[in-house]
Amino acid sequence: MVFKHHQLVIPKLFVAAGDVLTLTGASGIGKSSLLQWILGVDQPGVTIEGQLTLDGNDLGQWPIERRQIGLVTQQADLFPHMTVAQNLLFALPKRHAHRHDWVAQQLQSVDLAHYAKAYPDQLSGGQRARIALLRSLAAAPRSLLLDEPFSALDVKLRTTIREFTWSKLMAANMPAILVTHDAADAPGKVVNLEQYYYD
Amino acid sequence: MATTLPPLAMHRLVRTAIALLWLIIPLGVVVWHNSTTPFGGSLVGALSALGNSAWLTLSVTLTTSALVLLAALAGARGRHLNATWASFIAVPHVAFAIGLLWLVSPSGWLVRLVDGLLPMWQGPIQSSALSGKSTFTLMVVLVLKELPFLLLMAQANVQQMPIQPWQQQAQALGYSHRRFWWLIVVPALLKRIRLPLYIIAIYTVSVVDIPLLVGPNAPALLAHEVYQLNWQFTNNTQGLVSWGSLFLVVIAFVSVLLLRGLEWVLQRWLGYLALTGKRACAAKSSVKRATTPWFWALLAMSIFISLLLQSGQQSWFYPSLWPQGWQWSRWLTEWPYIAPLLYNTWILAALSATLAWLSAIALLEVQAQSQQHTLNGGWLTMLMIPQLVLVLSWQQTIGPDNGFIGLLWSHTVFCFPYAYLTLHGAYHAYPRRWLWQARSLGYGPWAAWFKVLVPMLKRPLALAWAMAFSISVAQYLPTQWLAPVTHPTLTTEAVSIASGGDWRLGSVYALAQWASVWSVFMLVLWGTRARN
Repeated sequence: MVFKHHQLVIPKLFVAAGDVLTLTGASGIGKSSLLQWILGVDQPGVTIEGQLTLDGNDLGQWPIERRQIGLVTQQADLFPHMTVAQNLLFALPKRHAHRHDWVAQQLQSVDLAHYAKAYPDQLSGGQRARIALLRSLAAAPRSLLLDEPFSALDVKLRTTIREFTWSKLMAANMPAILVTHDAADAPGKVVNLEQYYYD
Repeated sequence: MATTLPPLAMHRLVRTAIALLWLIIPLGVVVWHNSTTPFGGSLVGALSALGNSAWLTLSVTLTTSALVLLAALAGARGRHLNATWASFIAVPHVAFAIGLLWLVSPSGWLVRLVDGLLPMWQGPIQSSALSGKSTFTLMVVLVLKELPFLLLMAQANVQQMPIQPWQQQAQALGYSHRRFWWLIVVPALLKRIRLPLYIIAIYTVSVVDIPLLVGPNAPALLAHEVYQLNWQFTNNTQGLVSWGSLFLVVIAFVSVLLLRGLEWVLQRWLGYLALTGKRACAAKSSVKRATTPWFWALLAMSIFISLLLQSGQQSWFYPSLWPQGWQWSRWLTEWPYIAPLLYNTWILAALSATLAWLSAIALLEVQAQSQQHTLNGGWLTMLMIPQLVLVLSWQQTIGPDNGFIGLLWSHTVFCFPYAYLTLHGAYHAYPRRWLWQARSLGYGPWAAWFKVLVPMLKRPLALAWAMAFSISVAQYLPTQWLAPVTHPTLTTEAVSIASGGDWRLGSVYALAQWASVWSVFMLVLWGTRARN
């Protein structure tokens, strides 16, 4: 990855199904850029060469929507013009049977059933974080990217949401990549990108 | 690597197509026409014929622009103007001028009100700076009409600045809010509103319809003079028209240079004051109060009522506050004439606004994908050249009354930069991660755009369309010179009637023009209202 003032030369990284690979490093080193590359977002000003495979498929030329990689961010990014239930329905594939029942059941599982018709700005930070994760998983992704998903939460809530996230990921049995500044967030292998930094 | 919307080549294609349609071709015609048409007459002859008008134009431009700038700088720290106030900006200049003139003329409504309240007052004002047609009246109309535009631009920029932490720091150092505003915010704001200020100045250089209604005649403003000369098809007058166009370009350039100089002086002066360490608070500004939304609401309401009464009155002699006789049947008798004009105006405005709006969205999307978030002034070039110079070249190249397509194109050329300017801030402030989210959930680029971006930006998108619509409705010169017979509009008719002195009938047309724009804005604001 070639940035304006530095480059990252990252060797092969592998994440198994059910594992979470944690990426750390100083601000501006390129953690989020790496996640965006994996997601498939164009980044003008950043030159990236390399290969990305998922389940044996080379994703290099695939558009974002075909990659089936979910994204959970610090801001949760729930669509503000949709209710909580609509956010989940939006993510649920069309072919899914009993869509409304499924959404109700998911909300029930996180004690947010009575927030189905609420809008994201009516939720607390922790509630938004839970809905954001549920929404990403609703699309049945093959992998998940977590871009500092806990950094906007207070210490107590952070632990709760972290455990909630790992339990959901374990159940889904998919590879995930976490970007964080806090090593305490990491559930497994940690890679510090500063070791791949070149001026 | 996958891209969001179209690939890089498509980006270039979109930019090139938009630039060709609304920038390169219109400018190319002007350059080609002026480089192939010889100037008639001499420079000395042109200067002696048009010199006074040129000086007047420069003076009016600099005075109104400076007043608007100072009022906007003072007023931008007041209550924020919201989308509703954007609809005030969109009140067509012609309707505004006709209504305001009746409100403030020597025997107008305000004078009658004072007369009624003060019995010792003696009759209508015999000699007033605000007489029917004068330089002063013209400047009052221009300042009041342009100020909300610059205010809105200034406040949009203020919202993007870290005002709160700056203010906390300044107040912790003992500076009053007013002093903080002028010494810290204004220097930063001056740079940011440079472009809208130049747009106002160049509009003033080239405006024709307002001087026709309320401007002086001897000498007239240069654009007004050139406009009238262009109707006389003699070699001598056509030579003067060419020189007059050149003078307009020079005046526009000089005005921009002098306004840049004014900015430099203000920056230096405020910079000097900031270093004196003086923390005292200045006297309370009345300008700030004058720029609060209530002032504009009252002004708009007064002008509207004034137009309404004028349009329905039969006799209204001084000093009566209300008309003595009514003739609302005027609306009915005029309807057969207004209806086709309404149709022409709406069709033209809807089509040109849609073309301009789609082009602006396509350009902004391409820029957002390329992460070019700063406002590119190049796309506003058509607002930085006196309109008369552009339209005159088009008219002389393609001829007058050359059909609807030429007229539509000319309107769109002027609607596009406004649609781009209106939408730019909201579109570039929109976090693209919402779109990535939608696409990571399996939606294609178009589906993500329509289902996520459009609903979230529905109000700025709709307001940009309404703004482009109002710009088309207000166009006078392009319609009057490119299709005066085949496609007259409410604006061209309102100016013709009111400049002939029939204010009652002029008010009917001005109201119809206002209603066209107002109804679109109200519909947009109602249709895109936020959930409770």
